[in-house]
Amino acid sequence: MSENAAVPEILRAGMVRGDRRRLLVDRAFLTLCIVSAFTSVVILLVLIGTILVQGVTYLDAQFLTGYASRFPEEAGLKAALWGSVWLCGVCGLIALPLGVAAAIFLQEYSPRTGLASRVHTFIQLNISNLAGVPSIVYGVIGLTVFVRMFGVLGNPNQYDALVRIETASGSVVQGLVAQDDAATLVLDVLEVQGAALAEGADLPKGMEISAALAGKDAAALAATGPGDEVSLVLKRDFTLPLDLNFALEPVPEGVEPSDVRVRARVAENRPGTLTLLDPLRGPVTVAGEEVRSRSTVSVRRHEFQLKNGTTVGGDTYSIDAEELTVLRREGSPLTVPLSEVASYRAARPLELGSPDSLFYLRLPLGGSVLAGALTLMLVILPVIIIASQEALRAVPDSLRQGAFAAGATRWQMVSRMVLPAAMPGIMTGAILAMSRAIGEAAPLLVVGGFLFITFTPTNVMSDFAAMPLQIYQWASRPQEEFYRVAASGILVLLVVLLTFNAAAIVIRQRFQKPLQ
Amino acid sequence: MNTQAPAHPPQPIDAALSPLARVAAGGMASMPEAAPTRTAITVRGFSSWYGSFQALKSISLEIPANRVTALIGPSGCGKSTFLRWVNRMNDLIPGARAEGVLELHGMSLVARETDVVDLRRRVGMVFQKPNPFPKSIYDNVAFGPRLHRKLSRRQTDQLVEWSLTHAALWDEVKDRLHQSALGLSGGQQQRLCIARAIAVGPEVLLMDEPCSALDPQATLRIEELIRQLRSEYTIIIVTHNMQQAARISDRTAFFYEGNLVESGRTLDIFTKPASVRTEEYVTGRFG
Repeated sequence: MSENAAVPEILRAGMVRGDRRRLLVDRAFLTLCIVSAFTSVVILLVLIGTILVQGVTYLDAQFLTGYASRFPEEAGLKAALWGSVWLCGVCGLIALPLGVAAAIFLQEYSPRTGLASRVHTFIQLNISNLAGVPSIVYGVIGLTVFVRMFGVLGNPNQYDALVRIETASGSVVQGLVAQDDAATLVLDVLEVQGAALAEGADLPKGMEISAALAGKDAAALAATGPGDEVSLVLKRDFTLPLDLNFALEPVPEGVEPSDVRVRARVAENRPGTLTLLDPLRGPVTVAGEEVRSRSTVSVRRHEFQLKNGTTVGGDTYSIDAEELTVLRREGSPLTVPLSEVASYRAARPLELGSPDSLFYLRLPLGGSVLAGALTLMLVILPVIIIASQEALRAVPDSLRQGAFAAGATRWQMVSRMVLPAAMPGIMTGAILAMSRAIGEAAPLLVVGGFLFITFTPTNVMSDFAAMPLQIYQWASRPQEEFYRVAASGILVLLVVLLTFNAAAIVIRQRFQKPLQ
Repeated sequence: MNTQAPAHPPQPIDAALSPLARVAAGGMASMPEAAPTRTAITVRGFSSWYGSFQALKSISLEIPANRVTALIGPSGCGKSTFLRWVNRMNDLIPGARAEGVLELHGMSLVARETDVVDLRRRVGMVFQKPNPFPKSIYDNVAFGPRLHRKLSRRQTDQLVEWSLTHAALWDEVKDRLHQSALGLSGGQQQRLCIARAIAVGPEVLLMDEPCSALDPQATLRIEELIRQLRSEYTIIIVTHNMQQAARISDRTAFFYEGNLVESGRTLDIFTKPASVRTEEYVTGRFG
C-alpha cells in the first residue's frame, strides 16, 4: 500500500458511476443525428416531388420557346430564361475578375505593418460585413448608382422620343409626336366564328379597328374601299375591340379558346396621319402614305436658340400654332413666340454604338441587363472575395517560398503558383455565388426587371426579364393554372442551376487533374 | 569530378543563361580539392533583428567558393536566420532588418537597391521539408528558368534533363516526366527540389536541414549528391546532425544564441575546437 500512497483517491476508486447512462446518452445522440439528417432529406424529397407533380403538366418544348402569355398553356419562359443567362453571364464576367483580384490583393499583397495594415484590416472587415447585407438593399443601391446614376444625366424613363420623317417629296420633318393615327377601318360585322354571340345582341355596326390590330391583314385591308367585304382573324391574345367584346359571350367552359374569325363589310377606310411638333415650323401633319422613312431617337434635353441670341433649354416642349412652351423639371415653363426660334438642337443621351448591335452602351444605364448584372455583382462580390481568400489561404506557404526562392516576383508567384493551386477552390466559390445570382429576385425587381416581356436581350442595354421574376409573377396570378406554370418554371430554374454546377465541377476536375 | 557525375548540357543555351553554362563548364574542368579557394561570401560585423529581438550579433565569417560550409548550433541560435539573409528570404518576414556587411563576390546582399529577384537566381535554396510544386516533374524543374526568360521547347527539354541528371534523379524519372511530382518519394522530392534550384544556374546553394524529413537511405543519397555538387556550387548547409556535418562539409561554423562562436575547417572544429562550448556541442553534451 505504501507505494500507492501518492496515487490520488479518485483514481483508485475507479470511474464506474454513470457509465451506463453515458453510453445511453451517446446512443441517443447518434439517433438524433440520424433523424435530423433524414428530416432534411425527406423535406427536400417532398419539395421536389410536389414541384415535379405540379410542374410536369406544362413542361414541354413550347414552355421553353414561348413568351409570356395570358393563357397558361401558351405561357413560355424564353424571355426570362435568356434574360437570366444574359444577367448571369455579364455578372460573372465582371464579378469574377474583380472578386479574385480583390482576394489576391487582400491575401497575397497584405501589408502587415503601419497604417497600410490598418487600412487593410478595415477593407477586410467591410467585405465581411457586406456579405451579410440583404439583397434588397443592394437593389436600392443598384437603382441609385447604376440605373439612375444619381440623376446627373437625367432620367432615362423621361427621355423624349423625337421622330424624324423623310417624306416622299424629299422634305424632312422632325419633332415630338402630337398625334399618331394609324390607318383605321370602320366595319359592319356580318359574321363571327370562334366565339358565341351574346343572346339578344346585334352584330356590331361601325366598329373601328386599327389596321395594326388586324396583324398581317393590314396591307390587304388598306387596299379595300367602302362596300368591300373582308374577313379577318383577331388573334385571341389581342384585346377584342370593345364593340365586339360586348357582343360576344365569354368562351364557354370546356371549349378550347381559339382565334376569332370575323367577316365584315367595310364602311369606311381612314388612312393614317402623323402630326409632329416641329420646333421651327410648328405642328406639321404628314399623311401615312407620304412617309418614306421614319426614325426615332431619344432626347435628353431640347435646346432652342432664339433670334435675340439667347438659348432656352428644357426637358420637353409643346407647340401650338403660335407659341413654343419649354417645360423644365426645375423652374417654371417658358413661352416664346414660334417666330423667335432660330435653331433647334436635340441633346442626346451619352451613347456608344447602335441600339440594334451587340455592342451598345448608354448612360445612365436605365433598367438594362447591364444595370441588373452590376446589381447582382454587388450581391455576389463579397461571397466571391471571401471564398477566393479561403482558397488562397489554403495554398501552403512552402509553395510561395519555393517560388520566391526560384527568383519569382510576387506577380509571377501569384500567377504561376498560387492562383493555379487555388483555382479549384475559387471555382467552388464562384459556383456558389453564381447560383445565388441566378436565384435572386428582389434586387432585380427594384432595378426594374420586366415581368411581361416578349423578346430576348440583344445587347447589355436591353430590357430584361429573369426566371425568378417570371416565377414570382406567375405564382401571384389569381388563376389556379398559373401555379402549375410557376412550378414548371421552378423546374427549369433548378435544371439550369444544376447545369451551372455540373459545368463548374467539370472545370474544377480539369484543374485538379495535374495535382493527382 | 567523379565518373557517375552527369554530363553538362551540350551547348550553352543562350548568352543570357551564361551563369549556368559557366558553372557547368567550370565544374567539369576544375579539381577543387587541389585548387586554392577564393572567398564567395564575406560577412563582417553582421547583425540582424526581428522587431526588437536580435537574432544575430555582429558575426564575421568567410565562406569559400566551391566548398560545403555547415552551419551548426542548437535551435534558435540564428543559423537559419543567417541562411535566409543570403537570399533575402527574410524580406518576407515583417520587421526583419539587418546591419553590417554581407557580400557575394563583392556585391552587397542586404543593400536596399539589391535586385532581389536576380539575387535569388544566383543563390538557390532547398528547404527543410521537400516542397515540390503541385505540377508535373518536368514543370517543377522548368518553373524557375521560365520565370527569367522565354525558352523554346528544345531549350527547356535540355535544361530539364541536365538539371535532373545533375541532381541524380534523371534515371528514376525520365519515363514519367509529365506525371505529378507529388507522386515521388520524400527523398526523390528533395532531389527534385535540388534540381529545381540548380535549373536557374545559381552560384550558391543554400540548404536548410535538407535531410531532416528523410529516412537514412534517402539522406545518404542526398549527402552523396551534395558531395558531387560541391565542385560546381558554393554550398551552405544548416544541419542538426553532427555526423552529417562531419561527413559532408569542408568548413563548419558553430552558432550559439546569435553569436558565431567558432568557425574553421570541419576537421579542426570536430577534433580540436578552440571553445569549450563548441566541444560540448559537437560531442553531444548539450544542444
